[in-house]
Amino acid sequence: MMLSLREVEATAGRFQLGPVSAELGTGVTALLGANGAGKSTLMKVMVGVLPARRGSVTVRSGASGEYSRPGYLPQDFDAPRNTPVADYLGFVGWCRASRSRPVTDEEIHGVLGAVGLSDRARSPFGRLSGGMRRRVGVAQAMLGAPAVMVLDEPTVGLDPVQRSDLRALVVDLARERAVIVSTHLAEDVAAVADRVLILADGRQVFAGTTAELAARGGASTVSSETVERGFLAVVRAEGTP
Amino acid sequence: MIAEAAPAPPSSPYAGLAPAPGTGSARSWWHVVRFVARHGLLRWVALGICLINAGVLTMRGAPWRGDLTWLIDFVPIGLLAVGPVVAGAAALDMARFGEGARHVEGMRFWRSPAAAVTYAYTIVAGGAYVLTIVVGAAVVPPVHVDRFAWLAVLAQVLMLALFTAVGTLLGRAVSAVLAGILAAVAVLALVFLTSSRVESGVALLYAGGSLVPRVGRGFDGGYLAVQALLLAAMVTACLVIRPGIARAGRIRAAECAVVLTAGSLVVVAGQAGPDDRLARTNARPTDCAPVAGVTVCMFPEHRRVAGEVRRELGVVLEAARTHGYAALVPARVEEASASYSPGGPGTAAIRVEAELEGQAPSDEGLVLGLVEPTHCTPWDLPVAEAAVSGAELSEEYFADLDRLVGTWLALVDPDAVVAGAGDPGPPLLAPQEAARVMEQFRTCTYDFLAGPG
Repeated sequence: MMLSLREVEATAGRFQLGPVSAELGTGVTALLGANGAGKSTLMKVMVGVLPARRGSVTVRSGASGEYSRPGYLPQDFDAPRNTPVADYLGFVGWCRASRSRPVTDEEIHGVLGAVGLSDRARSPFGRLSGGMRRRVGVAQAMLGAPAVMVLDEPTVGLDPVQRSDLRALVVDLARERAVIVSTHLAEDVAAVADRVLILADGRQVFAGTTAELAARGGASTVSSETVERGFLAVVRAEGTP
Repeated sequence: MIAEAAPAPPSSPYAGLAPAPGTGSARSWWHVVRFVARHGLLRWVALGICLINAGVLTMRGAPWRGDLTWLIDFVPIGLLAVGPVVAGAAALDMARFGEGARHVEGMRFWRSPAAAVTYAYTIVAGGAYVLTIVVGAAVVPPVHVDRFAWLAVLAQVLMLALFTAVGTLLGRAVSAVLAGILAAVAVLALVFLTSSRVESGVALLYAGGSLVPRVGRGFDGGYLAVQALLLAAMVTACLVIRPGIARAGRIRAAECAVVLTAGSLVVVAGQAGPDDRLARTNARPTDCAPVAGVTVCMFPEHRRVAGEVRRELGVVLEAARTHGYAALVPARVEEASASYSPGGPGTAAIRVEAELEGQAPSDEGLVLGLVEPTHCTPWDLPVAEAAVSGAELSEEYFADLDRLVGTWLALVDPDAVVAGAGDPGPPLLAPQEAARVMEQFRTCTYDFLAGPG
């Protein structure tokens, strides 16, 4: 599983992103950056919601290297308020499915179970808490078993227990696929990420393993503190607060 | 693992996601049709279509009854209301269903949220539309089913699909409420601009919308096939357009080709396509029965008013015989249509139109039909040719026609002719004079034209 970014540049309003180049393989890649650094913009480019002005985004899965559409949790994920969760997942699942890879009722209930919402399958989306809605967003991104998953701040709005559970889910998902997660939380990075990509003002300022990032902060072990120190060291070296 | 998971969790939370061939039902297009129908505005739209069409069908005494071709052409009178309703609701549904699924729009356009909304509206709203036609046909079962009737209905359903596709296009581009308003206005404009018959070529949304009987005309299969093709191309173009969504270059190029082809087809067919949606059938009336010793033949589509018409016609014919004007009475009377003009020695025509709207047959209308020589050459002259030659019907002709009609009406009801505000009306013709004029009319030997200049 591989998501390749080659000299990717994009424009969103006045914001300029790139160039960004990275090879994101199986495992968890954390996308870090301050507010407005371009994390969500890059993720939109990764999944094709925003066209790249220059460069290329390639997604390959399996030995054949065939194209696979990434699963995507948008930062502002929302759904019709009065629609039962399972029905909405069925709707999104139909859009993601193909004749050779249909999305079944079992799969829908499987992803709901995976995010801990089996008992909410018939609940209207509008009656869910913010954290539950976020998990529905993760569930829809899992439909079709995509080779690459792009999750824009999946832990926002979750309580500590839910956040811990979701991290475990992300690690499990990343055993067989590339999972790209954007977050502000150093503890999320330390807990799940194999690699880190840091953006500052739309520019790529770091790409490496989590251990390499911690080393930038002068530490030899990976923890939330050392990751945070490494992050600050990188962005300050680039002259960005 | 997440603590709330109700069933016994598998060893890996993702284990449940593995494809399970042969177990469970796959999400089919039917599921999304049900989804949109259940959770969107579609049910109300379908109800609205039924109500609008029911209102249209009961207009003017439901004159289309018994004539399937006219019924199919009568229902689209409501398109001006149906179109904006369908487009506005589709835009709102698209904006709502697409808000969390914008990222799947970039995939195959025929399997996108917009496609799901379009399929659902085409099937459910189109079904409601077809249902009103079926109910209309069941009220008075048609005696004749045009072989291209299905194509005419298909074209009308594709018009609903186009209204929906326009709605989904705007629903993807702007906020829900604004999209609903813009879609309704856009489709209203589209209906205004492209629903009228054009002199040459195919009009995209021309669906008849007619208050005139269709007897004597049938659907032109070529015109309708081209129209259906254009509509399908335009629907595809609307679904293909996905502003702001990234696609591979070759896919984007193919999509541009689809949009350009659809646009070109509409322009070319609008200029060079078949001209007429309806073709002349030249069918002759086959429902024949004797009335006052005269064989009267009417179209079976008008069977429901035939009794009344024949009864009143009997009064008119008997009046002529009784008062010594037997020469006016033809041997045979046939109903005229848009493509059949009966006439000639011994045969006269009647026209049935107001009677279909529930009005009683008028003596004046019947008598005018019996005497007016519309089977003669001047009535066959194309309008343009007549204008070039300067030929027009003479004042003498109109005076003789008035006298003949007035005379016959006076035979039926002597008070009717002198009822006009002190105007005694045209002088009545003696039996011999009436017979002479009538004979000239029937044999087309009358000098109808005033001549050039």
